[in-house]
Amino acid sequence: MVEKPEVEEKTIWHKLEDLPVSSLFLLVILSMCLTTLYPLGLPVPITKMSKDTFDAVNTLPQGSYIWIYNGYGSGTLAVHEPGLIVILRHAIQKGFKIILFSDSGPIMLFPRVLDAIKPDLERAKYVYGKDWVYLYIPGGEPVWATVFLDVWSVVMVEKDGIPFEKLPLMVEIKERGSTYKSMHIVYCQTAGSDVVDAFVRQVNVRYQAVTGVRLIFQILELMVPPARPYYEAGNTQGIMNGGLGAGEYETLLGRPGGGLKVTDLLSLAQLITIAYWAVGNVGFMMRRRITEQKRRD
Amino acid sequence: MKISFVDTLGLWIAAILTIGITSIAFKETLFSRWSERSYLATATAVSIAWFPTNLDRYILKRISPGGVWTPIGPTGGYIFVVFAVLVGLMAYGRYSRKYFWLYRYMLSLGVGTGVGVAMRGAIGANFIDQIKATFLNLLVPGDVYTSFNNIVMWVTVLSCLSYFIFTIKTIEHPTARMVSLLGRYLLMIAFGVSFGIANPTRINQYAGRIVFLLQEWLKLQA
Amino acid sequence: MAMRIIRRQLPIAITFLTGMIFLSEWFVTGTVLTSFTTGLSNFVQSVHVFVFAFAAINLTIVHVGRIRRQLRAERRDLTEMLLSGYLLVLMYLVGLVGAYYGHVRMKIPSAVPEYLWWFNNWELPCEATAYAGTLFFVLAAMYRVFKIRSRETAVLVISGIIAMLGTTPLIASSWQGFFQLGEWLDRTIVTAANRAIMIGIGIGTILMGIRTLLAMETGYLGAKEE
Repeated sequence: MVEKPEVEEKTIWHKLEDLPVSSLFLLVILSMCLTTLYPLGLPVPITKMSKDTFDAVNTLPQGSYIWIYNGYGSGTLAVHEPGLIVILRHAIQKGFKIILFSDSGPIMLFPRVLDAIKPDLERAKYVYGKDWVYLYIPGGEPVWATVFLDVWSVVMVEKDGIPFEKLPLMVEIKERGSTYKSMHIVYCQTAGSDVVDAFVRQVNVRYQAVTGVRLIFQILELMVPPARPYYEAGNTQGIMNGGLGAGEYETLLGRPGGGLKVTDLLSLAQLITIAYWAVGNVGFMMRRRITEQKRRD
Repeated sequence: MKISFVDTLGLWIAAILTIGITSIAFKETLFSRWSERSYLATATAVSIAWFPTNLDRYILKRISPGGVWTPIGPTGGYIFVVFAVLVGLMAYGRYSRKYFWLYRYMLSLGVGTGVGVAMRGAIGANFIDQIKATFLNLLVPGDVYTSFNNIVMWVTVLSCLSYFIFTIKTIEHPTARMVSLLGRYLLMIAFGVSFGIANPTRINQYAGRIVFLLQEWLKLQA
Repeated sequence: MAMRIIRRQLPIAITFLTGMIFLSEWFVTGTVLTSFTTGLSNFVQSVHVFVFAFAAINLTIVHVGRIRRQLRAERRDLTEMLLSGYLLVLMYLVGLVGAYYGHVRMKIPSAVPEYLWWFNNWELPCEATAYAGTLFFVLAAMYRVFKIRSRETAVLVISGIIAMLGTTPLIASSWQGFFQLGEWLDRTIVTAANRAIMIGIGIGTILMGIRTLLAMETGYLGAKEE
C-alpha cells in the first residue's frame, strides 16, 4: 500500500507567506497613480554627494568647457533625461561652452531635451556651433581615449554632418592644442558600470593631475554603491544618484523638473513594498515556528 | 493647445504598447506577446536605420578627399580603410561553422584594444587610489566622529579583503577566520544597503511611464 | 600548419600587438605611438560599423527558423508564425524606410520628423517600459526570496530595509534618523566593502589582461578546430 504524503495544514501564516504577487504589483501601480494625481510635494533631503556634484559645476568660472557624455537610452529616460536637462540649464546659466557627445541612441532622444532647454538657450543667446555643439562619436573606451587626446583626429563633422571648420567652438578647441586642455569638467551619464570605470581611467587617472579636470556622473541608484569608492577616493568629484540625485540637483539649482516629479512617486510605492515584505517574513517565521513545534511534539 | 490627429494616434500607440509590455509581468497573453515582438522589431530597426549613416561617415568619408584618417604608417589612409572593410565583412563569418575563424580577426582587435585601454588605468583607479583612500588617519585629534568612521572603514576593507582570500593556508587560523567572518557580515550589510538603494531605481523608471499614461495620454493633471 | 597560423596564431598576435600599442602609449606620450593609437582606434571604429547589422541578422535567423519549424510541424501554431512574420516585416520596413529617409534624404535619421515620430511613439515606450517592467520581477523576488532564514540574511534584510526607508522621502522628511543612518552606512561600510571588491577587481583586471595578451587565455577565440 502506498503511503500518502503528509499534507501540511494551510494556516493563516501560509497565506501571508504566499500572497499573490499580482496584488503587490497592482497596489504599487495604484499608489504611483494616486501620487501623480495628488502629489505629496515632500522636500527631498540633500545628500553630501549631490551637494558636491552641484559645487563641482557651480564653482567653475564662466567660459569653462563642459563635456557631456549622455550615454543613456530609452530604457533609463525617466532617470537620465531630468539629469541632462538640469545640468544643461546649470551650464547655460553659468555661461559654459557645452560639448555633448554620444552614440546614436541618445541623439534620437535629444529633441525632447532640446524642447525643454530652448527657453534657456534663447534667454542666454546661445548659438549652436559657437556656444554649444553635439558630436556623434560611436565606439567605446578606445575611441574616448583618442577623443580626449585630439577630437579632430576621430571625427571632423558634428552629428548633423556640419564640418568642424564651420563651427567656431571646435576651431577654438583645436587652437588650444590637445583636446584635454579644453576640458574643465566632464559629465558622464550612463546605465553601464563599465562606462564609469572607463571614464575614471581615461579622464581622471590620465588628466586630473595635468589639468585638474573634474569628473561627475549621473548613474542609476543601483550603480552608486559600486561607484562610491571612486567618489570617496577623489577619482570623481560627485555622483548624481539617479532620479533621486536629479531631484536634489533641481532643488539646489532652484529649477524643479522631472526629477522631483518621479521622486514624489517613490514614497507610497516603497512603503507598500516594505509592508508586503514584512507580512511575508512574519508568515515565514510563524510557519517555521509552528513546524518546529510540531516536530518537537 | 490643439493636438493633431497624428500626434493623438502616436499617443495611443505609445499607451497601448506601454500597457502591453507591462502586462508581461502579470500574464502571458496574445497582447503581451504582440507587444514583446513589437519591442524587439523596433529596437532592432534602429540599428538598421543607422547603418548607412555609419557606413558613410566612418568608411566612405574616410576615403573621400577631406575625410579624416590618421595613418598608422607612411603609406597613407586608403589602404587601411580597405583593410577595415575587409575585417568588418569577415566578421559575418560568425554565422558559418566552416568560416567562423574569419570572425576572430575582429574579435582579436576588439579584445586587444579593450585590454590595452583597461589595463593602463586600472592600476591607478582600482588599486593605488583605493589603497591611498583606505589608509586614513585613525585618530583625528579632537574629532571622535571622523576617527570612528576611519576605523570602521579600515576594519571593513581589511576584513572584506580577507574574506576573499582562498589560497593562503594561514587563513584557517582561528583569529584569521574570525576576521573573515566579520568581513562576511559587513559584506551582507553592504549588499543589503545596495539592494535597498536599487529598489528606487526601478520605481523611478516605472514612475516615468505612469506620468506619461496619466498626464500625457489621459490628460489627468495634478 | 599554415591554416593553423591563419586561424589561431595570427589573431592572437593581433591581440598582443594592439594591446601593447595602447598600453605603451600611456607611458610614452607625445611620440609616434600616439598617432598609432589614434589610427588604431579609428580603424576599430570603422570595423565596428559592420557590427550594427548583427542584431538584425540574428533576429532574422531565429525567427525564420521558427517559421520553418512551424511549417514542418504536424500541429502548426498559427499565432507563433504570424507573430514571427510580423516582427520581421516591421523590423525591415521601419529599418529600411528609416535608413532611406535618414541617410539619403537627410544626413542623419534623427533629423527626419516622421522617423522621430515613429521612434518616440513605438520604440521609446517599448524600451522604457521593458526596462521599467523589471520593477515587478524585483518586487516579486523581494517578497518571495528575501526571507530571514539565518543570521546573515537577517543582517542583509535589515540593512536593506534601513536603506529603503532612508531613500523614501515620506520617512526621510518625517524623521531624519533613517536618512542619516542610511547615509552613514553608505559612506562607511558600503564604500569600504565595495572598495575591497574593487581592489580585487583591479588585481583581476591586470592579471586577466596579462594572461590575454600573453595568449594564456584564448577563450574569446572560441573552440579550437581539429
